[in-house]
Amino acid sequence: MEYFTLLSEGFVRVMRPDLILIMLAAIPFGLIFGIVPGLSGLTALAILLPFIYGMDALPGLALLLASHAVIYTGGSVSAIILGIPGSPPNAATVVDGYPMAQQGRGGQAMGAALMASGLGGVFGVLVLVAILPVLEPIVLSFGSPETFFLALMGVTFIAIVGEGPMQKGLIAGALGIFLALFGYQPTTSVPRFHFGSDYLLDGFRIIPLALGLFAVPELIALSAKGKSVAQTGSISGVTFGQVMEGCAAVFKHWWLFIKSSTIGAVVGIVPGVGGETSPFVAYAAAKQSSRTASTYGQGNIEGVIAPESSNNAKEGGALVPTLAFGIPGSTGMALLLGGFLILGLEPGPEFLKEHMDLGVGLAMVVAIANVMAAIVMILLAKYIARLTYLRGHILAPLLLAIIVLGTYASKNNPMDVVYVFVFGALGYLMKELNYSRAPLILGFVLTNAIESYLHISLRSFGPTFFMRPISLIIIGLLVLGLVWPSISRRLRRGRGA
Amino acid sequence: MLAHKMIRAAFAASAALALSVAAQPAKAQDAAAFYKGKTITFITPGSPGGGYDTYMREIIPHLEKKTGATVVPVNEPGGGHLLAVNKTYSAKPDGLTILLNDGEASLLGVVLDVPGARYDLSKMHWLGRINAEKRLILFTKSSPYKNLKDAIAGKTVLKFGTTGKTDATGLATTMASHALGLPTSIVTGYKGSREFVRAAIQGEVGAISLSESSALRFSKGGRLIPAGTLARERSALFPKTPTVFEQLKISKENAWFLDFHEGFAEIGRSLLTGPGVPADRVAYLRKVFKEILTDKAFDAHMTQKKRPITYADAAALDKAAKAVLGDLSDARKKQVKDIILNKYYQ
Amino acid sequence: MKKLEIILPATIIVFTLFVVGAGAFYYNYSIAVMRFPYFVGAVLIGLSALRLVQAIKGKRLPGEPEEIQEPTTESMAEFTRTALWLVAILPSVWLLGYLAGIPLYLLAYFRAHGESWLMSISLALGALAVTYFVFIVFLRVNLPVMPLGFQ
Repeated sequence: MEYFTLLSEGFVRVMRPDLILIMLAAIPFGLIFGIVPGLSGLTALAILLPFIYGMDALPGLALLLASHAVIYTGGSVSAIILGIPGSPPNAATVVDGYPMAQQGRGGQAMGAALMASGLGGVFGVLVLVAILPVLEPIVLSFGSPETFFLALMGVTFIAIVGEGPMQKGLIAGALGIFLALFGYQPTTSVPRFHFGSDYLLDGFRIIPLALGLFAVPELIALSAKGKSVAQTGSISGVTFGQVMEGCAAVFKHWWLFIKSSTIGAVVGIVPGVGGETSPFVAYAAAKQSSRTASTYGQGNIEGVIAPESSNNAKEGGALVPTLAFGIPGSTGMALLLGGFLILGLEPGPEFLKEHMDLGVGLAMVVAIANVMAAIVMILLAKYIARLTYLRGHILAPLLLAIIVLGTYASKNNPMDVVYVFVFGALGYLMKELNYSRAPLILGFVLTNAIESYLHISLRSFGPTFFMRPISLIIIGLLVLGLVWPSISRRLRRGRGA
Repeated sequence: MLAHKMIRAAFAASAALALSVAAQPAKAQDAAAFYKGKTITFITPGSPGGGYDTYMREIIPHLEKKTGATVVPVNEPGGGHLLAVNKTYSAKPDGLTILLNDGEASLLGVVLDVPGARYDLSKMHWLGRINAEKRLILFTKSSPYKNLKDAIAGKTVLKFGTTGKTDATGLATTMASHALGLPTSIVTGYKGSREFVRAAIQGEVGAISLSESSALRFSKGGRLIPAGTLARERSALFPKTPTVFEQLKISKENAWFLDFHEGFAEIGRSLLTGPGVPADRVAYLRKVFKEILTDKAFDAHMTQKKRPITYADAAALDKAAKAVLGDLSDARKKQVKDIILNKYYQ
Repeated sequence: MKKLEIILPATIIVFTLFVVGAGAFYYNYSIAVMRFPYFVGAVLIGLSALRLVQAIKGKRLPGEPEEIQEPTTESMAEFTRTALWLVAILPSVWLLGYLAGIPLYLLAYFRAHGESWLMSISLALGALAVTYFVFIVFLRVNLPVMPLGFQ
């Protein structure tokens, strides 16, 4: 009962004209940053941060949170209609979303992605508010060993995520892990494999990697053929009806939606795993348990719903450790934390005791922003899809210019732009040869956590560091995940399929 | 060694320069005229929203008002906070590039010969210090010890959490452990101080070292217990926590390591500009920053934001940097390097 | 395609060996630093070597399309031309700065690909406006606007 009182009080608190205006300004900003490849949530927050100096706490944080919460909603649209992830986590959506668009089902894919994003965001908030009162023990039960095992579990999904032959997917995943080993080694502070380059001191960066792998091959295809995206596939005009059909698909797959959103929220809660992981994990988990697993990678709508719902759900989850400890649950939350401090607030258990209303208010901002963003995008989807009618000779160089500008803007580093092309060559080869590119990104984002937390767990708890209840549960799930495909195959064979 | 002679000579030269500049008030007006309408690049190694970034962005409006220049903020968090120093060091020597420096990282880069450190601090010009913080040792609830005396006498290993070997947390932990003779073993690799605070509260480690403001933030509610201040004087934020010098008898030899560490902390968050900048512009920038950072209203504003100002002038910073780098013999440097990098990681 | 099927795993093997070798013999990193690279490198080389052998034998993996088009000299030339046109944006922005480089690159590209002068110029001007107003004025991105990387 108390739960609903909390929710409704929070809702009333944010229904203020000034807050709604701020959200209305923040949402298009976040959506555009999501849609434009290269510009991501981090850049959006970094740019908005200076604006909140002098604002009140709730409006200031609402500006940051609302724009950040809807980044992946925007990013899913670029992933589906152009095959270019708007922000790195949307790479998981490319795997099935882009083929759907190529088959003329872009409207359905967008509808599913947007509805899943919007509802996923709300789901994450519901989880957040539910555990707000008991936050401390929950977050405290996830220590370094648990973080390690969660990251390890993510790695086992390398074999499942993505399309094409599994053997090639494994090579891609291992290559992703290997590429993540460049730069400062987390436990010795030795700059590993820096080869005298300042850039490599910090290793390879996710934005040039994701854009190189996914965007450059599409640009080459576009400009080589000179035709529009629509002509290369069999896209007919996206209609509103198709988009609504896609929205409805989320309700048809409601169990998948719940499962994926839960994965998103949990990955978000655990600081250190990296929020970028959640869409890949959700995708893999969906594929593993799906009856139509064989069509994943060829335009299965489940492969769009899963990553997109978890993508937005994780933002609610990531707010948990941020509010409870001042420990950011994702890279974006680290910047948000900066926003708290700028406004003179210090998240932590004391903060929640004193400002529970603010905590719930912020959760509500995320929920409302998600719903509003989904509605805006569902209405606009039809028009955005017209981009695909632009001739390749026009679209490709324009996209390239935006990618070059966006990549530069993300870190002010010209080398990032160069690496877009370096990884672009790799991405092109991989695409031509049927190497799935999603596992590479997944391996890349998990490696640092695995290396650090294995080391920390061993130093803190010794070789029996896994003898902790939650660790053992995760290990159980991990083993089940590994064994399940062969069991289910045997079961199916037993049935004489 | 030659390098040390050069450092000493350079310190002497810069001190002489500072003196000669002070004697030429006429030129200061030229410098003031120079900055009007120009664009200043203000670099910091901090990420957006962090402490460095907040200080930088709070200062910028005042800097723009006083100089009449446009100030562009640049966050350059790469290379363990050293790339920002490299960038300032190799910038055009026109006084239009200013660095809000991470003192501990930039000095450690020199002491440890870190790859990626391509600057000579002795050739750069200090412009003033924004703030410096003392460091404390804090025990966690699950620590096997309740105070430093027990820990020193104890046999059980005391696990310290740090974020990295070559940053401020690693430096404070190793120097204090060596000087006090703590049975330390370091668990490193936590991402940022907030991560290892989480680990400390969860009981993964038994102790951590934090800056005084972080210590205040995280010790609320008795989750962490301040055990001692790593300084000659008590922290203003922890008036009841005695310094390690008050609590223990420390030999002169061991005290050297504590003072060495305090020298790093003394530099703190300070402002620098690159080598070769005309002396009148350096003097002008020093004057401008002194005016901003000693302004009562600005100080009160920053204190309210819990980002306090503890200004120190260029001469004090020169002295502190010299205390850390200038008098370091090769044997001592080797010893310090071994303590920081190896001793507590067995 | 057969050639590329061989080239990719072979390149991965050479790259991995080079990097791990540099860490072990040139930088002399400690075992704590090299533990993960050794392990991951071994797995990566093992998997790639397996694929390399398969590719040399011409084995097709399950889940791959049956017909693989072999590239012709024409399609290779076409690809090279396309790729060079795309990469050309790098020297353009480096030589001319972002503000001039991007519109001029676009203008040249559109003209070379048979778009009309009107279309080419208006799109280039649009790009100039976006670069200036969105990235420089609004986002305050510190773009190198002057030629040769000068600020």
